[in-house]
This record gives sequence, C-alpha cells and structure tokens, in this order.
Amino acid sequence: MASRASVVMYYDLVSPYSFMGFKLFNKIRHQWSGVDVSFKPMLLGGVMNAVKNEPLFKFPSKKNHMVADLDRISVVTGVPFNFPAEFPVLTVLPMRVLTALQIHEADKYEQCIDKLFDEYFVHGHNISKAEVIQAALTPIFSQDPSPLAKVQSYLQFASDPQIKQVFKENTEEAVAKGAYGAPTFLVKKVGSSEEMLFFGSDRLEMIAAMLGMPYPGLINIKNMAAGSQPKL
Amino acid sequence: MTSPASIVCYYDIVSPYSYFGVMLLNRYKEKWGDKVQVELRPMFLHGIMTGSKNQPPANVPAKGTYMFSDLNRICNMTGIPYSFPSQFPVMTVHVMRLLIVIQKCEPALYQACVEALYGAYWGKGEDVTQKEVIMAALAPVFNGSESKVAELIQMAAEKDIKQKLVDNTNEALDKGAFGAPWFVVKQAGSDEEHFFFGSDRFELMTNFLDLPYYGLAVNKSAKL
Repeated sequence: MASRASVVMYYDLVSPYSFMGFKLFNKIRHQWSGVDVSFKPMLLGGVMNAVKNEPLFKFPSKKNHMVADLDRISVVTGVPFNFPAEFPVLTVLPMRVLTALQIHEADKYEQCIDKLFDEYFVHGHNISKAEVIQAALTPIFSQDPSPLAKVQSYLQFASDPQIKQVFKENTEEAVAKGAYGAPTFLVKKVGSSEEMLFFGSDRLEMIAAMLGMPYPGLINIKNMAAGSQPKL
Repeated sequence: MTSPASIVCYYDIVSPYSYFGVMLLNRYKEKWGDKVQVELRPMFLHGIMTGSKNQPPANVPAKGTYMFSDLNRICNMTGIPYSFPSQFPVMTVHVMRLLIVIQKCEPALYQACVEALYGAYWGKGEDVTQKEVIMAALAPVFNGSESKVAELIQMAAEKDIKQKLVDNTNEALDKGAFGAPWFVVKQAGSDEEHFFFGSDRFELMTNFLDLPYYGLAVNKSAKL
C-alpha cells in the first residue's frame, strides 16, 4: 500500500513568518484529505548558528519589508497580526513546553501552538515569560480537574532532560534536512519517500500543487473557518 | 481621470529570481492590459547588496542548495524554461548598461531584448557577459542586424548611461531594496509607493491592486 502524503512544518514561536505560515497553512490544510500534517518545534537560533545564517531582523531594510509584508498579508487574508514591540524574545521555554505537549497532550497541541502564536503576534505579550505562557494555556485545559496545575506541570516538565533532548533533536533534524530558517516545510507526495523542502510562508500554492490538493488563494482565506478548533 | 495602477520592477540579469519575476510579470501584464502600467527598470544587484550590507543567498550553503531545488520547481510549475548557467554569478554591469541604452533608444523592442538576454542566461544557461552570446540573443530582435547591436553596445559605454545605472540602483536602495527583484507598486489613483520583494509576491501584489491572480501554473490543470 502506498505511503500517505505528508507535510511536516518546522516552526519557532519567535518567527513572524512561522506565525503567518502556521495560520495560513492551517486554514488551507483543513480542505485537504489524505495528507498527514504535523508541526515540529525547533529552535530557530540553533538552526541559524548551525548553518551560519543571520536572522532577517539584523538587516534594517529586510526587517522593514517583513513588517510591511506581514501587515499586507494580514489585510488580504484577515489573519490578525501586530508586530510585537519586544522583538525578538527567547522562546526556548515555550518551545520546550510545546515539545512536551506534542508528546503528552496530542489532541490539544495545535490549539496551544495557535494560542501562543497569538499571544506574541497579535497581543504582543512576552511569551518567554512563564506567567504569560501559563495565562495563555490554562483556558485550553479547562476540561481538566486542575487546569492551572496541569499547565504549571508542563512548565516544569520543559526542563526535563528528555524534553530538552527531543527539542534539540528536532532542531538538528531540521538542519540535517537542509533547513536554514523558519518556517520550513518537509513535504512527501503519496507513495514517495522523497522529502521536498520548502522554505517560508509563501510556497503554499506550490506545496498544494505538488500534492494535488486545493489552494483557495490568499484572498479567500478571509472566508474560511480554521478547521474545527474552538476559539479561546 | 485616475492614474492607473503601476508596477516598477527593478531587476538584474544575474538574478535567477529576477528572471522568473520578470517572465511572470510579462505573462500577467498581457492579461492586465491597460489596468496596470509596468516598467522593467535595470539596476545593478551587486550595488544593492553593498548598499544594504546584504549578502547573496548562496553565501549560506544551505540557502544555495535550497535555491537549486526551488528554481527547478518554479520552472516545472510555471513552464518557464530554465537551465542553471555554466558561469554563475557573472559581472552584469555592461549588460545592464546595454539594457538602459535599449530602454532609452529602442523602447518598442526593450521588453523583447530583456527576455532575449534572460533567455540566454537563465533559459539556456549561456554566459550572457560574452559578446557572442549577447549578439546571438539580440540580433534577431533587430531583424538580424549585428551592426545595430554593436552600435547599442558602443553607446552603453557612455558616461550618462553609466550614471543612469548608478542612479537606478541608488533609487532602488532609497526605496528599501536589499535584493532582486524589487517591485515598487502604486494603487490606481494613488501616489503612495509600496514595496514587494521577490518573485513570489504576485498573488499578494494582485490582491493589493484589486486584480485577479492567475497563479503560477501555465494552465490550471497542470500538475507537478
């Protein structure tokens, strides 16, 4: 039996294009069938160091273009976006929390990614801070007997050697596969073992075409619901 | 009467993404008709890099590797011919000056010349800084007249032409350029300039200009 088509998106909460890539890809992929999708936490700083790349924001003209670009994408697609006043922030803690959540809270994991991205790139809160992470994630676990305790336990668990190791391995894996920035999409067609790397939030039309899946266009994203995730 | 929308594309023949950007722009332009004024403006990418303290992407090996597969896929999807040149990068200052002369003196044939030179370098992978390659590419545009092309090459060495390339390049830098292709876009009826970088912003640009986006594929049913 042929292997299924798949898309793995490597992301870091610090990355503005990871924010937009996640939001847009999440809307688009809910129209798809037969494609396995997963989101892998990686440390963008670690990737940059490994491949000797420089972050975009170090170049003033690149940074200016990025902010204008994302503002325009926001207007066209209806995805709310506000470039944060505190930028960048160190995202090791929330990324390790997400690493833990991916393993232990699989059904809530994507909601948590979405929430933390919004905390930073919509509300401008500093997601490097434990109390910000705690406030953001606790409502997601409202069905739990002790939502606050649960979230606090994941904040603690983020320092566990095993979690640190998984996070480190994700980053190394991304680099080994050719990543040099975020977001990075690794795409496999049905029945193929070849992984095709796509960089950036602006290759979604091509990824969809590669997989023979629909691409609604940026302008139609405004009218699309983001899957069946409840809003928090 | 309101001014139409306008797109100025600053490009350099050396840049692969400028190649796809210009070829796609020319393709879309046919469908837009007079709704958009389009200009291809020659600039010198090396000057942009120096001026913005940026580096060519291939200086980071992983970016260079990615660029090869990205360009192949863009070729497959758009149907635009592509062959990575035997010599890359090359010093395109003389080619860009030649294009400035052609834009000034032979405006009706300018687009065909841009496409002919791009076709030689990025379509067929030939060294476009070589006189024979330039001649073979451009003579057909001028009804086979090699002497006409030679005349234009002579004019490209003139002081005012050299200055124009410098001016275009500085202009792009002033407008925030850090790479190629660099698009300066105005909405219909507005004088405000908006900047778009890269060959992958046409969907956003057309949304911004209230124009239909025709997609990357040559025909909608084309599969990769």
